[in-house]
Amino acid sequence: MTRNRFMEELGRRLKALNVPDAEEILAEYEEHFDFKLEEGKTEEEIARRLSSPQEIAEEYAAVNRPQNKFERGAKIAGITALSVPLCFVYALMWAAAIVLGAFAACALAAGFCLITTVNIAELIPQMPYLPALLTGISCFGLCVLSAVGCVYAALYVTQWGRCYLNWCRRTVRNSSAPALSALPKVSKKFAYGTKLLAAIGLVVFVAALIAGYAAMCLYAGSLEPWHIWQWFE
Amino acid sequence: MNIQYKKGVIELCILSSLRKRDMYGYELSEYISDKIDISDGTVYPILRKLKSDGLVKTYLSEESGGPPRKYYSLTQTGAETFSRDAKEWLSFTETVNKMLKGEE
Repeated sequence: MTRNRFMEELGRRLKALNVPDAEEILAEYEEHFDFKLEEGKTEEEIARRLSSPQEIAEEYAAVNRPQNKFERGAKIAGITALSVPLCFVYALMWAAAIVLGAFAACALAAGFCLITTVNIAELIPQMPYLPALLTGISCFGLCVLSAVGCVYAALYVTQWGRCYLNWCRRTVRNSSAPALSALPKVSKKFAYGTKLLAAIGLVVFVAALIAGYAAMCLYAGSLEPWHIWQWFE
Repeated sequence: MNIQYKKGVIELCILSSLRKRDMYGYELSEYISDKIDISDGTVYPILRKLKSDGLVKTYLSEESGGPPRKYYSLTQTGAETFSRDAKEWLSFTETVNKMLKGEE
């Protein structure tokens, strides 16, 4: 079969089987002929080494299980309708992750102010330096803990978004590809590091908070130091 | 060997080749048919399927003194699918090899 006959036949078969993007497919085979001719093969030889145009067209037709235009349209409409409310839910998920991040930043700022005794607008109540130092350290622990939480929240929300988009794509195209995992993929090193960091953050937060409170009680000579130091007067 | 056997495996081989570097269609086709005995052009429809499944993507790249070539590259989904499927394939073939050699 000559190159022209082969390409014509392939074009005809692809059209008959309703295969989308036929031009792109034909371009791939034209390129194949170009390369093989450059290597010194004849058109006949090249065509013989390829499968028949009918077989090739059937391979392409089998890529997506056939569905008619109505079915595809209905799927697109359904997915669009579903996506509008889901967009709001998804925005809320991101908002939660951002709030967690902002919380981490606040904890960092509070810890910094407590330790350096920078008291902006008298927001931090009066207390001796030792309990301030200890509660400041506990704020750093809280910051690390919530920062790790924020990173994981962002990873999960991103992955869920990808899962949903992938599902939409597979549904509309009638693809048989496997679903994406709902768990974000992180390296073992990263998972180990963040777990360790979160554990350290938690221990520091709890230990320093208890120690700070105990120090306050000792200085104030009372279990309710805020009464002695008149924090809420 | 049965062609249906080979097709599933070729998907995996394509993903594996693209993990190393991006390739254009003919390059991939030759690379694979060098190693596995299949008729020319078997990989083109498979590439199409991988693209439709979102495992590979294509881009055009200008070559010096020629028409732009369509390159294939792995998507993140493709990379994840590859590492999962390659693991499954390795443990599967290990079992089958043992069975065929009469060890199990």
